[in-house]
Amino acid sequence: MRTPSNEELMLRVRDGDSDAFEELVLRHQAEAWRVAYRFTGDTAEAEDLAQEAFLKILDAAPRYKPTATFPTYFYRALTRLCIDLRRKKRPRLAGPFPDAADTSPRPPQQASRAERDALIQAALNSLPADYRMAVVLRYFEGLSGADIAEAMGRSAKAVERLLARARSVLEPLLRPLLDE
Amino acid sequence: MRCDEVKQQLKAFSAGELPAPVHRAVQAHVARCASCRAELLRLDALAGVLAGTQTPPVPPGFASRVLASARRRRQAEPVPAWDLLGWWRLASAPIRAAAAAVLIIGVIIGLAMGWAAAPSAGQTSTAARADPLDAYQFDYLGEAPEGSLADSYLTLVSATDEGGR
Repeated sequence: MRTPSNEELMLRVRDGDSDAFEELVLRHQAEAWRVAYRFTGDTAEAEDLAQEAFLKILDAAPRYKPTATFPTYFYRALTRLCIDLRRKKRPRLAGPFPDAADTSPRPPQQASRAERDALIQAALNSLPADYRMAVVLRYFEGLSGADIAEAMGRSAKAVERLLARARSVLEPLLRPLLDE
Repeated sequence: MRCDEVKQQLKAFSAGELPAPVHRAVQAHVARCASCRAELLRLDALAGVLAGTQTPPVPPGFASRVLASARRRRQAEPVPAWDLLGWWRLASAPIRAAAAAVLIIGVIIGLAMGWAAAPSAGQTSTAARADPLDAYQFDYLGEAPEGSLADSYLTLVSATDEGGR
């Protein structure tokens, strides 16, 4: 039997088919989790966001029209939730960014994987929400500029500018790792 | 993916030109392979550093929790009985077809019965001209015949009226 496409499943969800919704959740839970986790750096918050994104597409299913691919549609819902969450929260004035000098007593290549991951996540957390989302979609999800633009509701040029600014913030913060 | 395959893709990976599933396969490989990571760092330092991180796996039971929340949300929001449009959208195709057929048959039967019950042109004009009181011999100003129900009622009312004074 032919495996139904995401768009076919979504049309079935629109008609009230809960099995089709379950199939979509199983297929896309990993993407939802990755984006939400990389954006928030927090497992509980990431789970709430990823879950809410699925419930959002379920609520919007009666109005669904297959004009865009499902991943783009889903990334758009998730992106909006993540950025709205950050806008509602007060900016983090003193985040848990590990002091790069802490790694100086030993060579950077000897930094443990956990320390490297913590340093990278803290650098991501220091970015404004829209820069961070552009970085997550580009570097962790591998989306093209056009797909990021579609997901974030921006132009492709605006996405390129976001990424350039994000790189200019990240590179000094990640210098110990970049120089390895 | 093997290292030689990954190394061929690294330039496209760093430029964001790979399809998303291939991108993720390369990324997963780079996260655990020091040699490929070093090659990516040489090509694009930031992409190399970010690709070296590992995202924790999806929490166990995540999908079940999403589905349970969806069920709760659906139970909490019943479709109102009057929301015909919402019902139509949610109904499956066979149910929609059956509902449409019942509606069409109902309209046809209604029209046929109306047609059969409608008076002919001649009858309509006679009825329209005639005084309905004459036509049905309805004498509402005349005295009630003795022994009729109306006469009994009038007698009863008059007696009560006189007694009350």
